[in-house]
Amino acid sequence: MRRRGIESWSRSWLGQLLVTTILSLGGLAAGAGGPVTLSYWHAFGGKIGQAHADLIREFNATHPDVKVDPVYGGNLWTMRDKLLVALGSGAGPDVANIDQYWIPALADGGFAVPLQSLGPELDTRDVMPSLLGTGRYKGKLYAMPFAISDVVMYVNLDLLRKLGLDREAIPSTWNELIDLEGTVQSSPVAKSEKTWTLGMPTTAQTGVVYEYLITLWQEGGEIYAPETGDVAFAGAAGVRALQLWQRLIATGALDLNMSSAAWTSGHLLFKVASSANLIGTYGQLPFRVGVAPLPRATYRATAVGGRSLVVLTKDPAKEEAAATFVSWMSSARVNRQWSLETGYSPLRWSSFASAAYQDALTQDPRLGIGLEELLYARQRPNVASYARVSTILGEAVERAIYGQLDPSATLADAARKAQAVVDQRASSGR
Amino acid sequence: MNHARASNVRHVAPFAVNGRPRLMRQARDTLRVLSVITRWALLVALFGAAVGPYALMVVGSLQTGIGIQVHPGILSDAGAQWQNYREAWGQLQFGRMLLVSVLAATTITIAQTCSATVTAFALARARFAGRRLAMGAFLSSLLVPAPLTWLPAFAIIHALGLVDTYWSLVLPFVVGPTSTLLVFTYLGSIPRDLEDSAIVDGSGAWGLLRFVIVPLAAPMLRIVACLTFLFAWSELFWPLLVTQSSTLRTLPVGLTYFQGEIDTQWQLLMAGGVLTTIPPILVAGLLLRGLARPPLTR
Repeated sequence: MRRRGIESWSRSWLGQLLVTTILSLGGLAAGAGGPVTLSYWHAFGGKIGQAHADLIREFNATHPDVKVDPVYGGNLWTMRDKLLVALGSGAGPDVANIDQYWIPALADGGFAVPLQSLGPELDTRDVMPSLLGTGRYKGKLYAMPFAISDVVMYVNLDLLRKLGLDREAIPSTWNELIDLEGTVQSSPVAKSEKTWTLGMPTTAQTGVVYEYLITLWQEGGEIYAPETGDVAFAGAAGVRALQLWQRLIATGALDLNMSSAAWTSGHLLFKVASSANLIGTYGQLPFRVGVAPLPRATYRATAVGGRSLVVLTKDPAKEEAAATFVSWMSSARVNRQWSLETGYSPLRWSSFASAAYQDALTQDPRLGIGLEELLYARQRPNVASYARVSTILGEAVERAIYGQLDPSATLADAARKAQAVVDQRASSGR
Repeated sequence: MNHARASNVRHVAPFAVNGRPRLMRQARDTLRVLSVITRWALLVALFGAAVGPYALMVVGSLQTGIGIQVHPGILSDAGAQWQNYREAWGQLQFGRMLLVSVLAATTITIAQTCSATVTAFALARARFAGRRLAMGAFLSSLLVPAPLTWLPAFAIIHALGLVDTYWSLVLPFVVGPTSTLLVFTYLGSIPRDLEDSAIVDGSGAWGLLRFVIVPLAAPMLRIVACLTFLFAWSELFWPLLVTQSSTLRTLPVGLTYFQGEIDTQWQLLMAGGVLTTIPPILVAGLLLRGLARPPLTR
């Protein structure tokens, strides 16, 4: 009786073990065969958001071993706050689409993974150098450019004609633009309805520092000295750049009280903005829109920037999947499709040289202006202090142009504050 | 002084009709008319300031995407674009977001109003060691800017495993210092005699709260509930922070989807905005109904 009981127990025990083993193996097999899920945070809303959602759907449909779970993080600023709070609590995403100047914070915080450490899958060989530079920090590539554009000057061609001007009158230098102000304001059109010559951000809140940096580079200046990393924007070039802004305002070419609807209502002649506006917003305006290179000062320069893909996961299985995803999103074919749909710059020479892109260029030569400007484009410095330093500089520029303050003294004061930030970062090892 | 007034009366007497100085009466009438005009002008200006942006939003919701930028507030020849509402509804999974928003805001409103009532009652009436300290701690939390609480609050929600759940939308708002302060202040104006009578009649703390305090504080509780609902309804960052799934997104979060970096869909944003403001208007109307009448007529 007892023996039968033991046998029965043994059989039962063995049976349970067998079932458990089979189930475990089955589970493991299922786990090994199932897709790796990547949480991916982005801030693409509006029509561009729909184009972006289409890309994710296509990736998921063509990659059965990886499932990308997109999470919309609101606008760029709410997305940044959401990301930083979540990463601080260890609940961040595996991949994120971020603004260029968050890279130092994410890299220094140990969150962003250097992309080259993910293996050979990510091919950067034919990515345009000025665009790839937006993702580099301390010599390593932390972010793969994705939605990048540069700054160009848009022209209201209908207004230009109404003013009695032709395309030859579109200024190629800031001085020519200032000279044109008199012609614009003396025309009968400007006398019958309010007409403005130039529109670009003038407050720190709206990003004046981005445009000021361009004029600084055009005067041969730098925000940081290349050799030492110290703040360098208060030198002669910085002063000349700020004097240029003050001259634009003093002559009326740049009106600080311009209506916010001046451009869309057709009363603004030139607008400085991202090259990515051409296909989306500006494509629907009720007047003909032309594109021109940014006017130059001493040298020709523009700024390039935008959104890039960073890998934040530390899980080896997910890192591999993330490399596949980033590689696919920045591949020549996907990048070409994305550029044509949204107006962002092609990243790769192969995207640019493709028949589809060349056809688009033939149909709309305006696309070529932003691309040509890439040859003169520079990215904002990827250093940890830049976020704070650029805020200080932007506020100083705003004060100087609204108060017509002495450029030299204003920049020197800002440089002192900015240098303190740089020194503090240096002493804390960043 | 009296002499001077008498002398004035004597001086204007020749112009007086029925014993009243006509000039003074005319001046008084003019002043009255001016006063009425000024009051109405002020009222119209304030009404315009309050309703104007909303009216612009309604008109904008019926304009084309480019029309709203070129001529804001003016319908184009193309007429009202009613399809903006259909498109906004369709693009956003509006029905789902509406449900989540209503559920979250209602739960927060009920929970916070109840917790504020109980806490304020305890702080105002109960005698216990550390009461002042508790009160001070409670009120000092009002001084902490909300962004500073995001990280610790998120860390707690994450540690509890509640990120991306319905409870993560609700739990941090179950207790509200501002609501508690409002109820606490109001309780101070309720005479203690009424409570003493209830205690003499054998009422305990719970009976006192339920049958004396809550009915007497009802007007303030309705105001607190209304403010809490409006706050919970319009909260943007917290729901954005703690939710990942599109099925848990609230309406304010959803509306940001129309706001691209370079291609904001203004007409859809306005249409979505109009739809989003309807529930809080209904709730405010329901909760605040009759509050403007004097207490004795209620």
